[in-house]
Amino acid sequence: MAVAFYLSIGQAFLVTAQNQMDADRTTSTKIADLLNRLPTQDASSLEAAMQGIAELGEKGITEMASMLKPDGNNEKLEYALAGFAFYTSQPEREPLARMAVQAYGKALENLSDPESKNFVLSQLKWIGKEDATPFVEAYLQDERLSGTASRVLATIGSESSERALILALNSSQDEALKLNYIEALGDFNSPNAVEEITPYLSSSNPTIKKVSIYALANIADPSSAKALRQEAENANFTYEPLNASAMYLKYIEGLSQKGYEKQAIKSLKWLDKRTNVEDHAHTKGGVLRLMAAIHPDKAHKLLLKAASSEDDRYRGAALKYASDEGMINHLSDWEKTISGASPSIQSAIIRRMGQIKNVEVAKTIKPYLKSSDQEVRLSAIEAVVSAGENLALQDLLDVMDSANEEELVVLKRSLQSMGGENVTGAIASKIPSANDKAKVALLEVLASRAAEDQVDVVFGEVNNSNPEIKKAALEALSAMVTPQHLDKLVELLKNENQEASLEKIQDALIVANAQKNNPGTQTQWALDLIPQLDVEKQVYIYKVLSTTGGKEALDNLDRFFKSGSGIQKSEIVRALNQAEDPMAASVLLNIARSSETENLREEALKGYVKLVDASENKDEGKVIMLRNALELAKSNETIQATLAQLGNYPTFQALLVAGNHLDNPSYQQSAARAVMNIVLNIDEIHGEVVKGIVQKTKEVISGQDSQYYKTSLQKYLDEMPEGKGLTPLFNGQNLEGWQGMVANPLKRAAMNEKTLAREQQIADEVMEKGWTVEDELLIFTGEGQNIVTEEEYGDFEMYIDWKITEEGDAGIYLRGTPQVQIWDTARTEVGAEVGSGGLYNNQSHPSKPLVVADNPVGEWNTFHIIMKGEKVTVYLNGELVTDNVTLENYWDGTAPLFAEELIELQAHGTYVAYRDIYLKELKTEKFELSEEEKAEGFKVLFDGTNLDQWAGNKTDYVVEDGILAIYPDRGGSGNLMTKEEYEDFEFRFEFKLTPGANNGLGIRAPLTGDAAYAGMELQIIDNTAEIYSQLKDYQYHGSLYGVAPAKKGHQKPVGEWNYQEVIVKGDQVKVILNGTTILDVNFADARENGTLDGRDHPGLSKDKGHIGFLGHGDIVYFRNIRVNKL
Amino acid sequence: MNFNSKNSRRSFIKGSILALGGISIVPRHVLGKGYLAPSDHLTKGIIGVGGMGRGHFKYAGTKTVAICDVDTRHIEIAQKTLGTGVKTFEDYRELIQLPEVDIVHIATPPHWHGIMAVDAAREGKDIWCEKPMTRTIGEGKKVVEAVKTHGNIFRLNTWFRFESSFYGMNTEVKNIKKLVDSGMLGWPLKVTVGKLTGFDWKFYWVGKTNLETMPVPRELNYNQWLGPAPYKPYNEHRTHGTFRGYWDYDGGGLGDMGQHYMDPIQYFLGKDHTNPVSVEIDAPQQHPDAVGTWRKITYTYDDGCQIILDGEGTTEAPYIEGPDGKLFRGFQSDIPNMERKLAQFPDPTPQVTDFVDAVKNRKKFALNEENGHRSCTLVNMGLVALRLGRNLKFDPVAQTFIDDEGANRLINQPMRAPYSI
Repeated sequence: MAVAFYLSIGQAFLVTAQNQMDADRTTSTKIADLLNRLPTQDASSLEAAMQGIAELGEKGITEMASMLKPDGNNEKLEYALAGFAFYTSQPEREPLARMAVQAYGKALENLSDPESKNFVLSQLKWIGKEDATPFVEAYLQDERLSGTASRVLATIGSESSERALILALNSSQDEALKLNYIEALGDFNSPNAVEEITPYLSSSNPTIKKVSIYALANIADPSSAKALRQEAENANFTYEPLNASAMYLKYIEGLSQKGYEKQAIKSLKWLDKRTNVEDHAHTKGGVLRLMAAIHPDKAHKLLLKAASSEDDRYRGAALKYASDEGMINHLSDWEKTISGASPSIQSAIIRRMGQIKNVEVAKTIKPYLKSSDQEVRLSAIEAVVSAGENLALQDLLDVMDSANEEELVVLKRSLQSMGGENVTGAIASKIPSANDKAKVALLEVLASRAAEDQVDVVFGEVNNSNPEIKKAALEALSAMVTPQHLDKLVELLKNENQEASLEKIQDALIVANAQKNNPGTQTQWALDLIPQLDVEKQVYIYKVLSTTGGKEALDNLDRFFKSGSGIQKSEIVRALNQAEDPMAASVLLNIARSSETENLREEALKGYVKLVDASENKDEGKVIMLRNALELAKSNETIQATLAQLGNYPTFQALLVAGNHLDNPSYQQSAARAVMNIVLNIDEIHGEVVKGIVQKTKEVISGQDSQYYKTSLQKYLDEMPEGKGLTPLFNGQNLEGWQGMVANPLKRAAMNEKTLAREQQIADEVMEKGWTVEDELLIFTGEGQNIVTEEEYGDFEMYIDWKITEEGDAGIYLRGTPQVQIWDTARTEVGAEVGSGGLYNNQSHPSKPLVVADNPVGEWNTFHIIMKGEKVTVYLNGELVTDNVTLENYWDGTAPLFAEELIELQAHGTYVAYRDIYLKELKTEKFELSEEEKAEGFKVLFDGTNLDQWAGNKTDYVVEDGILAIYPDRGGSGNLMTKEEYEDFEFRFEFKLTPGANNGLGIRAPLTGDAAYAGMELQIIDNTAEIYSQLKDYQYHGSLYGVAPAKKGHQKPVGEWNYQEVIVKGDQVKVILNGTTILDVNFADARENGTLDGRDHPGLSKDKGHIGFLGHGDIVYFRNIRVNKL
Repeated sequence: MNFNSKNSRRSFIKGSILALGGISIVPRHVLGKGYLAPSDHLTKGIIGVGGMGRGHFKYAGTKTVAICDVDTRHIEIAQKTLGTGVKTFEDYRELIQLPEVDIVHIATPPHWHGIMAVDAAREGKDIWCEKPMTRTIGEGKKVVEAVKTHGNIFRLNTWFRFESSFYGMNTEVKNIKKLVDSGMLGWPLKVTVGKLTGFDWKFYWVGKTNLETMPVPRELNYNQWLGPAPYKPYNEHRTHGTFRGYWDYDGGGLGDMGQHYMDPIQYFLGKDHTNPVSVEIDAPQQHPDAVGTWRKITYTYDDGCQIILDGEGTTEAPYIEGPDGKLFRGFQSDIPNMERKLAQFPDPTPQVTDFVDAVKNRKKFALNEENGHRSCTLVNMGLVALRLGRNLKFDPVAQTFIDDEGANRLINQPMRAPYSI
């Protein structure tokens, strides 16, 4: 019975409507259905579920809460009960909260297990008010529950809960329990409890004493003054486990908040007098804070005094308590305090003042820039800038010359962060007259502030005889120059000989040139300049070209490389490694491939790998790029960098490559991280190969956070779909699984067995000559015939990498039919410029690819081919080139395509290599009637492909992998019913349940309305679910709902398929589950004399109707559905 | 100088600095990186020497002199590194009373952070506390108050606002701060923390439901481990390492890692003294005891700035997005010539990032009780919304939720006696 399918609808009117329909159903059924929806997955289903609980009413909720069991799985009940408490804790749900309190309270009485009680009790913490006290106070004396009960009462904080706690305190003898009461009374500030608590201050039990002090301090009644003062004194005004000193401060604070200000101030003064800075700095700090809060005027003097304390913590507290406003208002006092203080105090106060953005404050700080104490000067520098921005700029510049190293660091940092007008101008004017160290610092400041308008000052220093200054000036240039400085920079380049300086000039040249924002003129400028320079200076222009990018710049670099000397070559590689233009990648790859020295190759690869991300290729194309690098790389560093990058392109190929690098410890971790990144970002791949790689990754991954990684990899493995998944068609070692092609499918079919065997032998011999396996590649050498798989395939998904040479031509036949085209796009005489991946032999359907996605001849390409029915989809290097196009039958134009045939690799007279050939079969086996059933007259209602014979809710009921699946929350409503009506019939089907699932089979039912009454319903339900433990007999699986109970115990375990036959004949209904008859009943009696559930079942009088599945609130699967009219 | 007084050691340090005059404040870089005269070493006591606490034995300029743990196995492992000379305790209250301890380092599960920090502050100790700062907003307020009252120096231990590369962003936060302050991105900003930041795998810190009761191991003082938390029957999954999956002690991936991500954002958005005004969640219903996963959490400030924790992970999402520009990973931006333009703005105000310097010179540390509490409040706002299963509005001044009594009852949660804060 789909008793509660309304829950996923999430619309109030439906909830109500359905609820009226459900009115007479047993509460336990409603609860069970509700629980089965939990935990909800989103806000709207939570809302619906909580409304459902609300509709149960107080009695129903009590019943639900009473279901908690000491040893059972209470998970769903916990979701329900806590969820409802939280739900009703919103102000607008106040009435529901009151109901919940009553319901939970009554359930407490029904429950016996202390942990269950504790759980329910805890829920009252979120919603309990005065009304909860009677329920909670009953547990104050209970050893296990007293603590929880006390805390709940403390949260409630009502008069009645106060009374209950005081009563408990007075009547209990158990000290452990008293602790709870005293703390709770303290927590909610109960003045009425003072008298009761006070005696416990003299308890010999330190814990009792501690909570009593806490409670009295919190309550802050004037009458506790003496006692708490005494405790603080006993604690010597410092911390000890009773916490009396801190509690005394808390008490004083409480007093003041309750209006006893005078008493509070008196106590503070007393405390201040009794404590000394050396031993009680932290307590005295507390006095300061309270004084500041209660009596700001008095506090000001106290703060000033404390701020000049030699004790740094006391001083620190005072400065924390001095408010910005207070300091500004009393600035002259603070000024006086600073001037009379020792340097460490001065610098502390100055630092504090620096936090105030205020010009007057900054002015007060300024004189201390000239303090004789360095610490003071350092504090003043930072403080004056943060308080007054550029107010003291000139003063700061003035002290630059006399500053020592440490001051220079702080000055520099302050100038870098200084706000306000004309900062860089003033700095620049200072530079010519500054001493050497200051000059360096100021140049660095100008650079970090990119002061373009001050660049002349910097040029003035580039030939300074002091190497430090020269370096700083040259470094500053690149932050400041513009194109108009190019000539000056070229002059510098020509006249400079130090390598380090030349590199800095180079950086400046690049920046200045780049400011033109026109790659064409930038390149031209560089190309014009090169011939004017000596060879050893020319190399500095390479980087100008490489960072500019563009075809012309890169082509020229390539040209220079080919003709250049050793040093030029390595400079060009270095330059190209800085390029940002992805076009530089192919230049670098060619260099890496042709390079004689290992050094140059690894260098080029580093730059190449870096550029992969910028390439416009799809992820698949980028993976091919990275594989190119891996083929060449020798150094661990390069391999690691390449593998790390692979993880950014979550594709099947990337996974295979990373998976192949898990063994070598030098780069295993990079590979493992890559695998992790890939699998966590791709969910459509699975199969043994994938599983193996993930498993291995989980084993080897190590280092920081690897426990997190292992957990998530295991989660991935756990959630991986079952089934064969992607399987290799080529093992990388030999031709196993392949054979020579004998003839086309039609001719081959016409051959007799003997002829075929003979022909096959010849074909295999031909294959051995033309096809070889080398370096894990499957290679056709150029002579011979096509080869084919040994197995036939129908629908499938296939991955295959291929590579051809110039003039190359090849193809992949799908189902023995030509072909997904592969060719050299340069062969324009045959139209190859359209690219590879088209269905070449198609006559009426498209034969050309949508876009050209081929990599250059000689480079690898990757196909992802999907064949479904007669339709083919091809991705080439990640680009869609053939979009769901019909593949025509080449061998017999009048016939449809073969349903299953061999996959064939074409031999077209030119070299072609393949690698990583993987295939996943997409089988949807159509259900077919047995001969016997056909003979009996059965008709198929669902064969795994469509719902053509069905009407109703096709939103939640979907066809998936040959199965009719029901997914709740897809937004549909209603049931799925046969279009046709049936009178007497035999109905056979298979079903699979998920835990706690509930559905129903409607018979002789109307298309709409409640089939259980308006027709009949045979229950479909997980009998084993705990939430259904209280169903009535006539609600279990197979029962004629409300009318006749079925036998229990013949269901397969949840998750396995069940086979069920239903025979309806006149007034007789028979249900056979997995071969056992679980119901065989004549309902004529029930029709005449009433049903077990006592409800009206007009459907029992119907003689015909639809058959259908009732309910879409749970995931349930059906398949192989057929019916026979009797 | 009174060597018998409780804080004599601190006086001694200060005294020695004064006595040596200029010498002891020779800049440390002159003496070599990280060099400190032995007498200048600050001493610390670590509470909780499980995985996290053990990682902090050796912080330059400090020496561990005492440790505390409720599991004797942890104590034994720690002694292997620190030697048997280190003082050991089971009750933190004894450790914080040691006069020779300058700094109390709190590396326990979060349900202890608030109470320990407040007690240590009352004892006048300086404090190094692991993230998340506190398990509730109420406890955070108490820590702020206590540290302010007693004049302590407090460091919350997440560091991305001032050190190393911000998770997944591949640039220092200082640079982002400068860009944000420059106004080049415009205002308000939307900051997305997604899969690329490494956030996704943190979601697996979830608790288990229906736990069986297990016998408490002899080495573990479970009652003391629970401390202020409600009593629940023992199961090993509730404690060491996996405690993050239970609301009583922490808040799953968001509790464990959230502050790492959101603290730097509060900083560069200039929100260190405030909080968002609303939090919206997209998540499955949460179990009352075990923390579950979530899909998305959105925080909105009163000026329209937003932080989005994207659990589903839109890998290509721009990280920081304003009306005038976007900032991607690796400090890449769609603003032409961004870095050059940016350089022309002043740097952000320097931060105090040397804890030893902060303690010795009583400087407020870059990430302290106040801004630490504010960024932890983001974590706790999210956790409250998750537990309740609804979106919430927040008043950052009063630090309470608006029109939601249920949410407000989660701000302060009474502790198990005799623990109180």
